[in-house]
Amino acid sequence: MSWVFGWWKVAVAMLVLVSGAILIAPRPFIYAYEDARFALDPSPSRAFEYGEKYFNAIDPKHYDVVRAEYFFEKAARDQSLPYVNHELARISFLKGDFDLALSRINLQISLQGTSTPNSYYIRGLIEGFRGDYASAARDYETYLHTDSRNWAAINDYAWVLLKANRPKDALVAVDWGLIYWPQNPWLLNSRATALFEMGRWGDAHEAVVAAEAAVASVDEKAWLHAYPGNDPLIAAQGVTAFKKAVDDNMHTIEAKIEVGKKTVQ
Amino acid sequence: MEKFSRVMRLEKREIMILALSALILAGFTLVYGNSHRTAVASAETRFVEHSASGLQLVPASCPSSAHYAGDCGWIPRCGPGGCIPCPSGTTAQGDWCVPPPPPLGYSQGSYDGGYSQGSYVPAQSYYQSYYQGAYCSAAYFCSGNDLYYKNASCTDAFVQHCTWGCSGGCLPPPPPTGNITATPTLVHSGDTSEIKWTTQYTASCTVAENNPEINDAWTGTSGTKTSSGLTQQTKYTLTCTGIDGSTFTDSVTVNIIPIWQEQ
Repeated sequence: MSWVFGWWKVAVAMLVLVSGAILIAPRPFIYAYEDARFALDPSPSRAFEYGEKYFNAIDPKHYDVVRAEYFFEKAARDQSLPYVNHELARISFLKGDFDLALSRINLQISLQGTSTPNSYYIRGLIEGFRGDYASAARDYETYLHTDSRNWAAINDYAWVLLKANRPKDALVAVDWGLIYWPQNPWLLNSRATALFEMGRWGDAHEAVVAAEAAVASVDEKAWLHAYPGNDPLIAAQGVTAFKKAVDDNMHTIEAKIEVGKKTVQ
Repeated sequence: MEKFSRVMRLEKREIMILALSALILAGFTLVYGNSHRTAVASAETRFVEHSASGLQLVPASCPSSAHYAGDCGWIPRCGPGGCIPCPSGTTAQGDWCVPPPPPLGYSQGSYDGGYSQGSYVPAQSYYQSYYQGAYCSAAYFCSGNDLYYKNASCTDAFVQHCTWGCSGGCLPPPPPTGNITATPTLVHSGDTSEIKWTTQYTASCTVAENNPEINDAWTGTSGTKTSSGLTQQTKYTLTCTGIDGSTFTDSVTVNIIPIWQEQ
């Protein structure tokens, strides 16, 4: 009887140990539980659900892009799932593998077409990062047909127009967006850039001053909303980088204006 | 208490089992990861591109998420400094200002942008026609002294010419002004005086006097008349109705030179 009593003590102690471990580091237990569940029911829809959970840029606890990609690849066995190739393309894009990202988003669009209109936006983003600005502009326009007041799509459309050396067209697009989002720092920064490219330094300075004022209110939450899919742990760096970009632009514009004044004198 | 401590006292064997379990747990935690992880930098956060003149370009990627495709059109209304009123045309939903969905006719705007034979054609008219076709606020506006009306389809229509100027609408006429004079204002008994009056912004005027011996009465927004022969002090009053409907008056008095008789 005494050996039963002894094992009882061990069991209680182990229970305390395991509970403490779960409280301190729950993630491995959650992962193990999900892996076990998925092994019992390896359905693509469950895999997609897990993938979405770990591709969550809002909750730092859950963000795990490696695990998300693992589950999305499992989910891709069912090509009828509407966003599976879209999400895989996004992950490849974030990892910097633009060729793989493009092939995945092309597959997405060939299968789903305009039923997932923001897939065209993703393709525009990928094409822009690859330097194919003409194709990117075309895809942004396709997306903007479905959501013409989307400030991020307008801003990125302006980006590829600027890279294609079309600042006037970029300005038209940005001014359209600013009707609805007059304090949007991305649009204001793009406006400043377009005006600067057109030689309108005074107007560019006015726009970048407005951008500088607007970007001051961008916090991590707003940044993560603008850049979904990115790791929440780098949101602070992202905000800092954005603010620095606007500040650098302001200094560049002001320096140009100063040079212009000295030339006149 | 003593009984409890005796109960919880572990044998050497039991301690070894617990230590082994702890070791297995630690290994398990290492294999499956822990709650402290390294931040993942993406291609977006490493993006640094410049325009032709060296300004830094900053693309966003808000519509990329399968869950948030549409709400990049949502305006964040609450920040560290508090919440702001939502702009006109949007409604507050939690921390966001949500615009209405795009009008159904968005695709009917003319669109000349697109990729054509290897060269990019700008879509400038897409925005201009879309804007002009759907997004004007109906309002009156002035062009010089002409009043126009712009409707929701951004079509302008002439309303009227504003006689008194235009500023957000036709301006009302100014209030009436004017004056009445008498030359001379001092006459010998029986002599006459020239009564003259001029006015501005008046619709109608009358001139009347208070002398029971005469019957001078005239009308007109301006005029010059000779009074009747005056034998006593007479006051001539100009009364006008302005174009704006208000009343204006002015007056002048003609006096008689007194006659002294020697006693």
